[in-house]
Amino acid sequence: MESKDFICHDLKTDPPDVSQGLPSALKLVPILFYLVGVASIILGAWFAISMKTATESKKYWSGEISRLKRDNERLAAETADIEKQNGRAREVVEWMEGAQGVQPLSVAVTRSLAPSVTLSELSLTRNAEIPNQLYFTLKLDGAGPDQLEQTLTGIRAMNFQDYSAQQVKTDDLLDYKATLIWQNPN
Amino acid sequence: MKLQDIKDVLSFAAFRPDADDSSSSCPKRFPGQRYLLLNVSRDHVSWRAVGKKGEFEGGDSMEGDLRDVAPQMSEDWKAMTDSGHVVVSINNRFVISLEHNLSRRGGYQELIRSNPKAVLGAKCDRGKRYAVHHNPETSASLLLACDDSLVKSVEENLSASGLKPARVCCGLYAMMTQYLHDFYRQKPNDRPQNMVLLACCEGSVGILNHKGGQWSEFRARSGVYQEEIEPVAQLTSKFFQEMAPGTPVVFLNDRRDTPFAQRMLEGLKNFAMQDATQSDHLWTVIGKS
Repeated sequence: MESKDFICHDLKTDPPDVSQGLPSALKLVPILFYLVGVASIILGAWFAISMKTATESKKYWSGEISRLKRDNERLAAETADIEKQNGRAREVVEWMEGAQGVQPLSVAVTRSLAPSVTLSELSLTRNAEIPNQLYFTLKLDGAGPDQLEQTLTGIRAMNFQDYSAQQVKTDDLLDYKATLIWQNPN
Repeated sequence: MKLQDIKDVLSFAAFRPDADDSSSSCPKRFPGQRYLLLNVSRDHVSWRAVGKKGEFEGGDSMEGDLRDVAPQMSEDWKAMTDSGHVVVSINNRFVISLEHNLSRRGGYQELIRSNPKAVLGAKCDRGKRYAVHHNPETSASLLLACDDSLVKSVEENLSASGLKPARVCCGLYAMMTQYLHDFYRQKPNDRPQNMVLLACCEGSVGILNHKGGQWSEFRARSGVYQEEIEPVAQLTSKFFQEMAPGTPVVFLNDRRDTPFAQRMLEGLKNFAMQDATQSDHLWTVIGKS
């Protein structure tokens, strides 16, 4: 069978190592080389643009983080201040709740006295640290244990409980000292 | 691996056939390069250059043997090539004969170059170089034998002038075998069963009688004519006398429209003559294939 293209005969002396060229399939190697080169340039440019964008974004978000940290610190300081004020307000509330009026107590004491009994001394002193504690001092002339019990009953009716009571009876004088602590009925 | 090998792969040069690879055509071996075509007769040398785009460029001729012409023209010839490669047509000291039953085993074209005895058997002469062209439909073959000493002499003369032979061939044989190659590529019904093929190449003449689908007779001789057609007529008269009336005569000349070609066409006008000569026919056959 004749070949498709006519190739002229050749009489020349054959040189050594005559190459017929590499197989066409291997053209893939330089093609891939150039494709990889082009892809590297495109990806390099893309990465450079992305890097620039990312750097600008990082700078922006670093600024945002700093701003938010400052805001956070400011809010933490404000919160601490509010907490401090809240604590002090709680103390005031507790003090207000503990500082029950002494006038109804003194009225209850005087009303509990029988006509024959004379009130020599009545003292109600509030503990500055613990406002619901009152130092109670009572001196009565002509009073017996019944009178004292009646007076204490009136005091307890006002939700005060007596503690550390000391009672001294000399002739007709009854000297009574106690610490009254207000009990929250709720 | 050398740096040049890497450059050749990246420039795709490594995928092209080597400049000395005779199994590839010259345009494939020298793409985008200029090279020179040379026709060497006994006392006459002609040349033509092929440009980067494959077009033919300036050419000329000079009387004298290649040994004398080459040293004078070497600088001009080198200037016509990019790599110094030359395709040479030898136009003397060759014999073309019609043979039968030559070996056609695979790779015979390479085998006849490296070990001609394996193809030709007892017909092989150690002082010759051979090329063969088989008739694809019969056992006939056209065998070219050329003096080994002549080929070596041409190669040495070119090397001494700083030129490199890319191909050394016989122009007359190339013109005829190229035509026969194309002839047998036609469908059997499209080609004549009888034909006479007459080829003239710068003084050399070859004539083949194709009769009844067979190559029946062949004759070739170099240095037959210069400008006159009478020597050609004497050589070919026997073919034309035995030829059946109406048999087409295919005429091939090395160039179109030369005075010799005009005279030959005039002399053949009584036959069913067919001029198959192309422009720059010899240069096209040896330079583009």
